[in-house]
Amino acid sequence: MWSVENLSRKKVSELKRLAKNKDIRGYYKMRKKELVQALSTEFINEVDPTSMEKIRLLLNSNPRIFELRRIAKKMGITFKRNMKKDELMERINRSLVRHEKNVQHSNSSQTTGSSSDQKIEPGPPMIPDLPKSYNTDKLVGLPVNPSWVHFYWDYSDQTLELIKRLEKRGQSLLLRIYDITFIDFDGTNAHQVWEYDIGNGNTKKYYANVNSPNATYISEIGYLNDDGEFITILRSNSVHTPPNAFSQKKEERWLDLSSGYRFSEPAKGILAKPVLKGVGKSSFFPHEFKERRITSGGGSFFSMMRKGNSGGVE
Amino acid sequence: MSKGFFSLVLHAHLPYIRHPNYEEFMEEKWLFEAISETYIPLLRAFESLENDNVHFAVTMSITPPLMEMLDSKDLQDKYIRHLEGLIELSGKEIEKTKAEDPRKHKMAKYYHEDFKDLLRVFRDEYGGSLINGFKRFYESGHLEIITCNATHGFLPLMERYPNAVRAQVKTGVDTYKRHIGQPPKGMWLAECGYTAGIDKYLAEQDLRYFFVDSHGIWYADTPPRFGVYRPIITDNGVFVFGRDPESSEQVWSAESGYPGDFRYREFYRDVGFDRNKEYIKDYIDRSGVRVNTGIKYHKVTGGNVDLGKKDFYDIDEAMEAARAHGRDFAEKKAAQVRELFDQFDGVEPIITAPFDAELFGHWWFEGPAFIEHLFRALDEKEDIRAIKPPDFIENHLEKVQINTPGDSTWGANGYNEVWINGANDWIYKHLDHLIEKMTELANDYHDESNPLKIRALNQAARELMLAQSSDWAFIMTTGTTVEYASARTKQHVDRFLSLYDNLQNGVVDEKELEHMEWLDAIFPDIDFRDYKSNN
Repeated sequence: MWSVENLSRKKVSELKRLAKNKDIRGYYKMRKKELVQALSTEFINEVDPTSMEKIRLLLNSNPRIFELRRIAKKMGITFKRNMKKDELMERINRSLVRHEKNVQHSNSSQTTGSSSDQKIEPGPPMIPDLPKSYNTDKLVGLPVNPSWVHFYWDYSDQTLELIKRLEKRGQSLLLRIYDITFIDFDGTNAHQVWEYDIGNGNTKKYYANVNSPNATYISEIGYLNDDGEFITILRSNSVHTPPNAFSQKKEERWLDLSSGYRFSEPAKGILAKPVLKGVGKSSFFPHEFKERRITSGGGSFFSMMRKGNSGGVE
Repeated sequence: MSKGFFSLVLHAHLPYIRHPNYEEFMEEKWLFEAISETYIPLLRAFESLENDNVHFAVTMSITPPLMEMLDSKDLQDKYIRHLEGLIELSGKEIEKTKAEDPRKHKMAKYYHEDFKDLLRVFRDEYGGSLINGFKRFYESGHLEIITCNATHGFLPLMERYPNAVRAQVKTGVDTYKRHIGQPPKGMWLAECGYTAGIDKYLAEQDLRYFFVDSHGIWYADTPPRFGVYRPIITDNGVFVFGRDPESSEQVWSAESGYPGDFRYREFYRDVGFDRNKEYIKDYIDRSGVRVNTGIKYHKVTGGNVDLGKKDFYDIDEAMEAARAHGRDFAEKKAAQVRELFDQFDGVEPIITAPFDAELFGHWWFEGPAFIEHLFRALDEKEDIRAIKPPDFIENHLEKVQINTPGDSTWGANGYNEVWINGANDWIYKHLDHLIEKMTELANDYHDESNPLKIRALNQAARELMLAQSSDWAFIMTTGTTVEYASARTKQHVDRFLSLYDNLQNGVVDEKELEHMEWLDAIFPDIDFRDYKSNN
């Protein structure tokens, strides 16, 4: 940690080197006291790149909880004693990402400046890296259109360990999708089940062609045990695909607005029945949208952006 | 006695793009172009109609981020600087075009006067805030202003999280009240995105109506007797208007749509691209990237004519086309109404025609003139009358069919694939995580009294909402300015995560927070407690 105390023990030449790395303005003409001040306020809880690398290695080598506590303390991360290991890991990870970002940031911009001064920044805005995983067990289904559903998922460390063990035994993870339309699903009574091999933890999303509009699906990730039984690891929310056909119901419901009276009448069908534009094939690859309007609103501001130079330069 | 009604709905929206930490920022120009080409020209059209006592009725959804940007002092100042630059450039163009072509010269003079007038309207007439302009016609009863869900978040993919949807809807209503001074009656759902259940949150906020695309009505839970030509009401008591496909086809058809007429102004020829770099450098992006200036000298000429071979534009000829097209469209709407009225045995239809507002003016330069002539022509007709949705509900609807609309968006193919596909699906992992963490914060801190922590919690809610703007996913799909959209998503997610960590560690960094509040200053009255579960 870059406490005032630690910094004060360093030589002026060393402090200048650090200040130079941090792009502190006018570091070369600063006195020791000023250097210490500048470094300590600029980067509280700084961890230098080599120790960051060490921490990363340690995090990946299944550390013990006391090691994690030690690191957290060193990095100035506050934590509760009863905090679980994965929670603590998540915090350390987040903190690491931020530190790396800080380092990059201080290398690329000249002034950090206090925000209340409302400094104008040079150079393009900084783009942060986001965590690749949030270290949680999660399987989510999202409807794409009447016949496609998107699934994405994430694993906790415990689950990753399980996946590793499965991999050693040569087993893959399976994604199962169940059609549970109008069913109180108990794991065995789905109308249909589809199964996909999703490997060993690297794939984290999938588009499934379910082919039924207005239907409800649920999915699970799991594996087959020695008895060939499907063991569930993750289960998704239920996903409903949009309808794409006229209702066949035989009754209309009406409301009389002045009296609040509700009543039913036999359905008369649609008096102004449209000639339907063929809703095209289900596609979700962006290149198919190129050169086309992608909203029918006419052109959300950027939907018809210039494709290149006009070719008409004078 | 009219046989039916026409309801024009203009959805005015831009994502929250405001970079106070830069003197100029390329994407901020989107707002400036929309002000110059769409918002002020629409206000001028409304004024002209009002002066001539023409009956007109328009519904505009002015989205919360757009209201916040129109109200932002630093963007107002930047817009004025932007206009001053264009006044200067168009002055140079007057000189330059003398030696070129008389048709260019005529337009250069037109632009010069037009930019000066834009500045007058913006700065002097409406005091820098165009919300005042729209409010003027709202108060005179011609314009129905409605709101949109907070940051234009795409609700069909958020529907698993009731509190996130609720916060989007409520913040949209609150922002409207703050700017307009009245509660909104209706809401435009971002991207016309509806899935069963969303109406419940609108009912909670006393919103009376919203819109769906045609298939939302067609594929409703029970057969809709009048198709898209009469509203339905949901079980939660919210009215739903369905989009008329014919109107969009007439305006938009690639073969016969009005904006493709050869006399109209060509969008893709602009002096920002056509003039040599040395001459134009002060009026394009500082980095040297060429951008549109709004000074354009060419006309569509013909659908298959190469951009380099376009003929020169003549504004009088183009305005004559806009007038003819406005009258033609009015005639078509009247005929449609007569036909539906007979088909419905004397029940009056309402034709709902929603469009992106920026189509009119920005993409289709003569669009605002088209709208003006459309209303002039409609006013002369017996059979059809322009109407605002609440007036239709109030005065022309005795019985309404109870129904649940089917899922709808106005994206390609009508469902969610523009907002979730291989180009943008990575964002949902983060957006969903943020919603869950925001909920956790709201549950943990809803009784918090420390002002600094409350500020951090509210800022976290802002960052979440900004990350949720459907625009980012949309832009990733279109394939242009993807970097910007992706950076914005990442920045808001990152800022949220940082605030979350600080709060859970009990150490809020005030300097960092202040900086975020300055950068992402949307929704000053946001309340993080809206994210509390089960409230």
